[in-house]
Amino acid sequence: MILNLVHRAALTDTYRFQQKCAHDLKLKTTVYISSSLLKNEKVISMVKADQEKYGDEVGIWIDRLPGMPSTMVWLLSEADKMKTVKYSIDKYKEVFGHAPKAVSNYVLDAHLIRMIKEYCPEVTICVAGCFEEGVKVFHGCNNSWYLFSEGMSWNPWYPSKTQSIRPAENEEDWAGVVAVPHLSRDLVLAYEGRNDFFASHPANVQRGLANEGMIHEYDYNLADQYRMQGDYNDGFSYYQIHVSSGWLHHNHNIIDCDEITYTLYRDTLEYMAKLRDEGEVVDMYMSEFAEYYKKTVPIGKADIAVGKDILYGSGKHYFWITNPDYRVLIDAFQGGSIGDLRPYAGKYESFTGTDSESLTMNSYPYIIQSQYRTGVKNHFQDGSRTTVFVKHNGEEKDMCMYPSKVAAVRRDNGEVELDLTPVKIAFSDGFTVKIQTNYMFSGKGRITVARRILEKSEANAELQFTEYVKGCYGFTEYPENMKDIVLASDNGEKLYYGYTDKTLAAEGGKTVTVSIPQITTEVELCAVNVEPDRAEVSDGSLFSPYYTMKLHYTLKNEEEVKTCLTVRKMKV
Amino acid sequence: MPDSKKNESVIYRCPMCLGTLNDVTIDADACGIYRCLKCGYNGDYDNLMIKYAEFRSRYKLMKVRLTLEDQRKM
Repeated sequence: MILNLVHRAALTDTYRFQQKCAHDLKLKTTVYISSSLLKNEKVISMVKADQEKYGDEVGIWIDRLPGMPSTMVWLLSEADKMKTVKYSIDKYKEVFGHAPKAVSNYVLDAHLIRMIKEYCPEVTICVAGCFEEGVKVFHGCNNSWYLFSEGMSWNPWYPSKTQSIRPAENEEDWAGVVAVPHLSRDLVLAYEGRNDFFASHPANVQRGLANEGMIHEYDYNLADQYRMQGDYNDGFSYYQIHVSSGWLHHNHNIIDCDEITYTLYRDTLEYMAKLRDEGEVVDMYMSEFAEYYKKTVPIGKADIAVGKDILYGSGKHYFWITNPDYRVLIDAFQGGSIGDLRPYAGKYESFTGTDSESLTMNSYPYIIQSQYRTGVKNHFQDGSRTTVFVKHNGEEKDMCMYPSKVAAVRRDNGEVELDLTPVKIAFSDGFTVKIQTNYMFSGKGRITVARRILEKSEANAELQFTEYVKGCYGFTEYPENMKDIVLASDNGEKLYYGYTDKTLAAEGGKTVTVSIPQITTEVELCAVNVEPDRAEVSDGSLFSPYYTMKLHYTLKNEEEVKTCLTVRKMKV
Repeated sequence: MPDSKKNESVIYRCPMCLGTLNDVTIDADACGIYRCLKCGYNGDYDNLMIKYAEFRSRYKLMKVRLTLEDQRKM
């Protein structure tokens, strides 16, 4: 596993403590100086002294300048962003005598990255987003933390030119820097809960009360969760520890005394140093990592993660995949339904700041988000999710109710295949069927789900399967305006989204599509190996603002039903 | 020093708001009762500690070391 250790320069005892820990342990450290501190002689001489003695890399924490609105740099006007970029880079060059290679903040939108790269081509790496930070953290911070960065990778990525958290599809689409997330977040709990409780940041873990005094196994367990990702990514895994000094002293989010906070921080770095000494971790400076990443991870390669619950004991497994076409989360606990889907293939464009239509929103839009948009039915109707309904003798079962786990993950020629553990469904007449769900993630935005019938208690029993996709589009937990969405079946009929609850049904149809002009995305559900009895696509209502795609199959002796969900850029 | 021992330099958060995953700081009044500005929680220091312990009880693996090999087998 590769480690980036990041500190942020400050004239505080806690910063000196952090630096001492890192230097005592001989961990390569990247120090960021915020834009406004680049003229602070005390800070500069302290950072330079460490740089000379210990070899720290120094980068810029690009931040608003005095006199600008009290906001985050990615939310400034275009003119203020440019002023900040120019001042920060010019000042850095004046102070250090060379151009910076690492320029960062919690989020960098597409325009800010372009400004940085154009003004200073020597920049190779940016911290540019926070995995699954958005709605839940906004709520958790008293509705006052306007950082919306959901829908990105948990791992480093090549940012596209038109939306900074969308991974580029090729060199031409690439913004020219390697982007890394701010911190490494729990691959289960960043989805289910707050990413700022469960991160590679011991003080965040204290914030979530996931330590008890000096007992903090979770800090180590999370590091090992990320080490495990090397199993799925040809040996590559990445971890970032990045703690600003304010977290270690009298922080309003921490109910432990400073002695505990200091100890947890040092313990965590000691674990990293131990792993490095054992050959399990390679510590790198940020720009060193950028070069390594460019050499070892080609643009377009899929990133995979398997998240297993390491804190609650739920036994849940999640599977994540990102590639330039989509980011998909498979919720194994809900029978292998899609819990989150970001259709990158649509190439939705956005930037942030006062000159942007998006304003604060740098999240990439979802078409399925089962946490924010209901998912499986609990109260009124269900919401955005996928499933297969299995019907026998008039009785219907929802696969979402049958927990499974990640059984195997394979990579082959750019395709990624996922097997879940089989589930056994029992019906009231005594009939049972054992079904295994398999996913194939391949090029051109295709997600093929196969339902394999492994065992039936009556060999000739007939079954009806309904492959089901309920979607929408959105950025937060609130619905967006769905008008202008067009629903279509392969017999040429169309239905314009109007909250009418109407259904378009095509007997013998095998394909239904939904076109979402708001995010320039088309979604298609298509039968692959079995002819469906009927294809349906439905409008929603204002009390259930979704579209629903269904393919109904009748199965007698078939052993497998394959259905392909495709996301692509909408033809205009 | 564990947080079960009162430390005047520590800032506490309302345990009921924390239960909704919201961070809201809380101070004691002159009688030593912690009162939340955002919800109805009120309680003395001991009650605050009980509520924090209740919150932590959700983390069944909090004190369990799960090594890389353990996680591979999970």
